[in-house]
Amino acid sequence: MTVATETAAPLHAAPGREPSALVQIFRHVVREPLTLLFAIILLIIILIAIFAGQISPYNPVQQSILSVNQAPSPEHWLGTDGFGRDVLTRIFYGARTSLILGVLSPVLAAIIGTALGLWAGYFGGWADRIIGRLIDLLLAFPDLLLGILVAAALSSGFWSMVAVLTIAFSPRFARIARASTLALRHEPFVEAAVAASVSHPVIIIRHVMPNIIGPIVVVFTLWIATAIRLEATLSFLGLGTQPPEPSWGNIIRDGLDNMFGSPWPIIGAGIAISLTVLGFNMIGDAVRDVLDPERRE
Amino acid sequence: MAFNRRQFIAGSSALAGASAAASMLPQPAFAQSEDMLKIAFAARGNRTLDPAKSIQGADNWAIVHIHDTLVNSPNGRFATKPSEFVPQLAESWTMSPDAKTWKFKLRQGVQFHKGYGEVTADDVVFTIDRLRDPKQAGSSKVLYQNVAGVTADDKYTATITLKQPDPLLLSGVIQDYSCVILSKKAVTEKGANYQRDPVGTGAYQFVSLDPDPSKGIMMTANPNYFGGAPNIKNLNVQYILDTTARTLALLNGDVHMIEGVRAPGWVPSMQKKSPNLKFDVAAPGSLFTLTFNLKRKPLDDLRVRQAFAYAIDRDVIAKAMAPISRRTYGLNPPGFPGGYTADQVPADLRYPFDPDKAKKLLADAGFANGLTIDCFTSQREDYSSVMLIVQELMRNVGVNLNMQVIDHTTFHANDAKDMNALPQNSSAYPPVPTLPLSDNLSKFAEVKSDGTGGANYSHYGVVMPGIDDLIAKAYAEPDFDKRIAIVQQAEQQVMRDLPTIPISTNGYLIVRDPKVDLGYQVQSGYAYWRLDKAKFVA
Amino acid sequence: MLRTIAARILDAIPTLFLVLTLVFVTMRLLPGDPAIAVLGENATFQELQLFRHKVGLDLPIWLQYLDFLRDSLTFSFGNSFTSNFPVSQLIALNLPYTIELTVAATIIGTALAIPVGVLAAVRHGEAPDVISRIFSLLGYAVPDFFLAAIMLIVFALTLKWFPITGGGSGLIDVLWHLVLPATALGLIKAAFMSRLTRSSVLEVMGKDYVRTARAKGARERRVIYRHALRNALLPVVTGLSLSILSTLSGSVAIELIFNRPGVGAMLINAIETRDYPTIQAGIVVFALFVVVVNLLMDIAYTVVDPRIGAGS
Repeated sequence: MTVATETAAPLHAAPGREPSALVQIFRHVVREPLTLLFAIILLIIILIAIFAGQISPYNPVQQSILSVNQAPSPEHWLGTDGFGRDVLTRIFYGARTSLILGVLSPVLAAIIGTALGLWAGYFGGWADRIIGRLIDLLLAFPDLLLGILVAAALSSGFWSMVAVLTIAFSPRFARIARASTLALRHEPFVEAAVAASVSHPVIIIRHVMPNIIGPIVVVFTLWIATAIRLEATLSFLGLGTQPPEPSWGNIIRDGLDNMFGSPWPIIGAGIAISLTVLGFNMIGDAVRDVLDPERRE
Repeated sequence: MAFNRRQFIAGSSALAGASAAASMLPQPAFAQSEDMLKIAFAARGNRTLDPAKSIQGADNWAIVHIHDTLVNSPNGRFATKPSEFVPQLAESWTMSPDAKTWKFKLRQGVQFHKGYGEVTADDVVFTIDRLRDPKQAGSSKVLYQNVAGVTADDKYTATITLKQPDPLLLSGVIQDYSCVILSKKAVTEKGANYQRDPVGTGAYQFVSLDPDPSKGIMMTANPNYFGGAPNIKNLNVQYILDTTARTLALLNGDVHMIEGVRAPGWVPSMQKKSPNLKFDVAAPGSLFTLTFNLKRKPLDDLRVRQAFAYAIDRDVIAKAMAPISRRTYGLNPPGFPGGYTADQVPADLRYPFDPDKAKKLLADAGFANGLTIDCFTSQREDYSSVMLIVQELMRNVGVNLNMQVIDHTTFHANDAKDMNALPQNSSAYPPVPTLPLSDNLSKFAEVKSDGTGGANYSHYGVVMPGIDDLIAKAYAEPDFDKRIAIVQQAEQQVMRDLPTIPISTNGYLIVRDPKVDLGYQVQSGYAYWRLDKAKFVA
Repeated sequence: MLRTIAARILDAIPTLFLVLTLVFVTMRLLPGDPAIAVLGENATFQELQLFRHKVGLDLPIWLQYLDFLRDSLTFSFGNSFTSNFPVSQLIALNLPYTIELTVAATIIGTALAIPVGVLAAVRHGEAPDVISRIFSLLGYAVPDFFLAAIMLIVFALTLKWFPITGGGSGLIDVLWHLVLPATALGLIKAAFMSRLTRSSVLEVMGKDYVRTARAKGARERRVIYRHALRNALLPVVTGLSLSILSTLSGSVAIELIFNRPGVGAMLINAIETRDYPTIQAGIVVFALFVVVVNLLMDIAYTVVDPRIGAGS
């Protein structure tokens, strides 16, 4: 397991040193044309999600029962769906749902998982054994199965989705945090601090955390993509975002049921998910190249 | 690198070769064979083939072909007059003047499949006693609660005595799928295994039940069927839950008939895709009602309920789901005995679509600034499609329905425990006008929070005076026309009190390949119909 | 090696126990009522109670838990609540389809991924690498159900090359029904694994023993296959095991779209209808898979790199 101190750039640079990681990441993205392209697309998608209310031509849940399944036209750029709702607007609002879930869940998972993994790795002993077991247990289940079980138990809705995704991802963060912490625990500078009776919280904050942040952030950006895909799949299976709230997953699902009415919801939402996941993956790669070059591709 | 390119080319030509070869292979078993009629339904798989336990409509298609009832409605519609009923296992029947005693004379010489002997009155007694037996879990018990006893007078005559008069016994009970006559010998012999190996008198006999839903139930023609051997030699009932898969199976010719999708715009989109398809709809089908839980404020205020009635454009809902959905005014739909048509509804109870009036009523009730109500609906498409439209229509008058869409099982469990402020129900009723009233609005059917109650989700008759006296009077009335008059009185009171709003009826839709000719037109009836006269046409 | 296997199995037992407990708790947490799911909405309270008594749902919860554990460990799951078939029969029906889908998808995925990954590594930075990166990123980004739906519409409906529904019966028929779903899954797997292959080959190519082999004059191809690939395969093998496990349950959407029988579809249906025996059996089978697949992977490690078996 790499020790991040030696090789990765610190997140915030000391003055006069090499540029901070953020700048480096930025440079990585800009330099490669493919990455730049998708980063820009991603930025557009994020802006759409933020300003969906302002830029959408219609209300996403407003139905027009007598004009269902219309083909694309100047009034409806992607046509209407089975309830006469504007497809483009629903895809815009779906961006909001997917992005919020896709970012919020990994954030929560990172916080919870890192805390658990740090605790297990730092204090060792029975805490480590219990937490280790729990992590293995949850990791034994692939995301989807876990997601299905939890989603069924919690019924559906936005916050259940957040809970599901958080539960699915926390173990992964915990595992990385634990491994990194374990590696660091016995490093000389940490041992020295312990010997000097520096309190544990201080050691953790001052010495351990800055060094494990790197791998955590790398995993975090990559898991955003997975979170978005997982939410789409769960919505597709009927366990995620519930109608009439749009999410890309349930737009595709309704679109499949209504395939011969209009193919545009499937096409639009499918492309939207793909572009977003692609964009996050590209950024994730750039982040990884900078923060954890041992694992770079 | 050289080797990779070579590998790639080799690989892709292999793939091309394989698919060319595949298309040259003889078409495998699933394709057209003109001696098997294949029908596919939206269900996960077979649950049971025991008529006493069946709750899944798809299974009933098989059940009614393997077994027969004593009496049936004519093909394609409900019998609306006693003279219209068609003899099946019973060749004639009589009803006593007080409508409490019914005698059935059986057809002679009808044999059960697979050598289980002739149908006798003992089998009738056995079947009905089994349905009434409180120690056997069944699904249609409520239908048989009125049966006081059943006896075999002689080998071919059975008599059913009732507790209360029922001039509509044939409509409500005898022709129901649960009342198909079973072989006492077969059921006793097979026990719990009967549901996977049924024996009946029907046009088709049971061959096999495969746990693979795409193979499903296989049946073959009964050459000695008393109604004439069926034209098509084999019948296969498949289960294809996913709508895409089911639709594609029909379009591709893998199956001949499929259960349709009850969602707006679906039928027109299918017609666009394949203009030759036939759409068979048994209307009225299920009655969809939106009920007010009168124990929840402010739904106890009549003005709020009236606001709902004016805000929900029921014509638009019916139009959205056409041709499946039809407008209904009372709990008994147009076409049923006692049902109201548009012009028959008294003018003050008509509640035409009028959002302004709705807003005014809400304002009078103190909700000029709008109102929020938490409620549930089911994921099942016939519920959610309608409720999404209702939600939107209510939003337009300032009522925010905070609606959670949950899976059907949980939805029903919640409704049964009095957890829903706006319960909904979609139930199919035969043309027995007292049924929807007693089921949904009788105080004896009041829902209880421990789940022990019935389907009266509104608490009508308990928290406010209801129609119980009228219901009791109707049930005690042996004369058919007088009964209808009492029922209509009750219906009018319901329209005045609005414990529930009948929204629409959702007919049962089957999409049929034009090469299958049923032999009759489907107009009304249960959510299954007979295929023994069907044949393949060019 | 035998010690490794034994250690693995012993290790799996507490995990299995925890899995079962977790499943039991989750199942009981599921809202809704299996009795209503089975008997229907019109069942009377008495009928519901009869059913609950028959399947033991009216026993105290700790007793139900113990029965649950005992049943799971002896593989006696009884009959499905909804279909009345013995659960073992349901599993015997569904499992082969899932396994064949997993195997086929893995073969397709690996057969695509390894050459593509190696090519991308060997020519990294050049055109083939960029193309492979786009391919893999696309495969990773496109949701599997979306790809499956598109393939269904194009290849099955429009071109009519392949059947639309079902699993098929008889060898050729089964294979024919397998092509589209396995390809949809396989393409996505190939996307993951080609990346993995590429990065591990790259990492290994820079290592000393490869340079040594080159210096000794071994032919390029030999260098790659003999030395680099073997060692590069280790992380790929790990990726493979994760991939297999995720297919076993993650093929739910594919199974639904193609209307194939399978453990995933069986499980999700069981969860929706509160069919406790089937849920239970499905999870136990799945937990077993985790152990078996991990075991096989360990064995595969020792085959790929004999040094590992000796050391652990």
